Amino acid sequence: MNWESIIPNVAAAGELPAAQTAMDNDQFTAFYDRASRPLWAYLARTSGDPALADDLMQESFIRFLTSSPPLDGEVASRRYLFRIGTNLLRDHWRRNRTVSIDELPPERSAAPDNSAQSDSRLTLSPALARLRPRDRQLLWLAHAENYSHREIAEITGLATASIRLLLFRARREMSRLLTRGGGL
Amino acid sequence: MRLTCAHLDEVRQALHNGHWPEASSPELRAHVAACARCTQEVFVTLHLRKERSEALAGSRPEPASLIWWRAQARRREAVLARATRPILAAQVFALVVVVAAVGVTAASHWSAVVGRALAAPTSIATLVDLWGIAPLVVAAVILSTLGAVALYLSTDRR
Repeated sequence: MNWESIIPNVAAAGELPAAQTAMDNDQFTAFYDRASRPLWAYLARTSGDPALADDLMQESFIRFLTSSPPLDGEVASRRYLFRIGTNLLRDHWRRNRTVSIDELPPERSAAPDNSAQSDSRLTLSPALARLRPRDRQLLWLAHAENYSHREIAEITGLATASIRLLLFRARREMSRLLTRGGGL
Repeated sequence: MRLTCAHLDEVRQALHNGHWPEASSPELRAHVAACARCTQEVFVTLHLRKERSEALAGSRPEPASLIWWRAQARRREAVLARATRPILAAQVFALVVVVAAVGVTAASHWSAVVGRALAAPTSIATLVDLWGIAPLVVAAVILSTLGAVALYLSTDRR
């Protein structure tokens, strides 16, 4: 008699039924193909660190699969995935610093521009790099991912009422930086 | 500058659908040129969409099968941890029962032991004479239980 026969749930976990994981392997592969690149872009551009984005993206999908994701369609699943990624990013910043994400100065959260990351696809534009991480998050979700204020609130954990004002300030700051630096 | 504008939804829709600027109406373009709020919306959105396109091109996600496998492995670990938790609880419970039994036995024999100890030097032979072999058995049980718990905890940490 081995331990797997004593604890049948453990043995069965190798081939988890779809009801437990919300998605089967094929569904997940299709979802991953559509959602992984946008999530990576969000994490990389918000953190300014492509290597960190790699790690967080992988962890986000693993947590997505091991938790109970929403069952009401891909849009909700993708929003849930972005929420996991946002929380992981926030946890990462909290672990490394004692200040909150709102107080983080921009230069401390953006990765240094070393030779390995000097590829223009992987580095932040000057205007984006000068913004605070929270502002980058909000602007990215609103303008790059086209999420509504309610959805942004759901992803970031902020109050819906405060999103409009925070976005207004972030947009104004970015517009100022773009105008000054000729960003477009 | 105002927080919002009556044409903002229209501008956003055009940006989202890729209709800006060529497929947008001349009126909308004229409005955007004159409205600071809408100009800002267009300015920031176009810049971030460009950033997004570049980032999407630069992303190199791992194969989905690898993520799926890691998630399954983590789920197995979680299930195993949940399943073995009652075993630890049972071991702790057994330890508590043994310690309580020893305590009760010692309390019930306390006066006799103290009396004998005062009258004659205490030795293993005296204790065996007083309680028989029971304390030795109990001590062996305690030691083996503690050993099992220690072994389990060290294995669990690894």
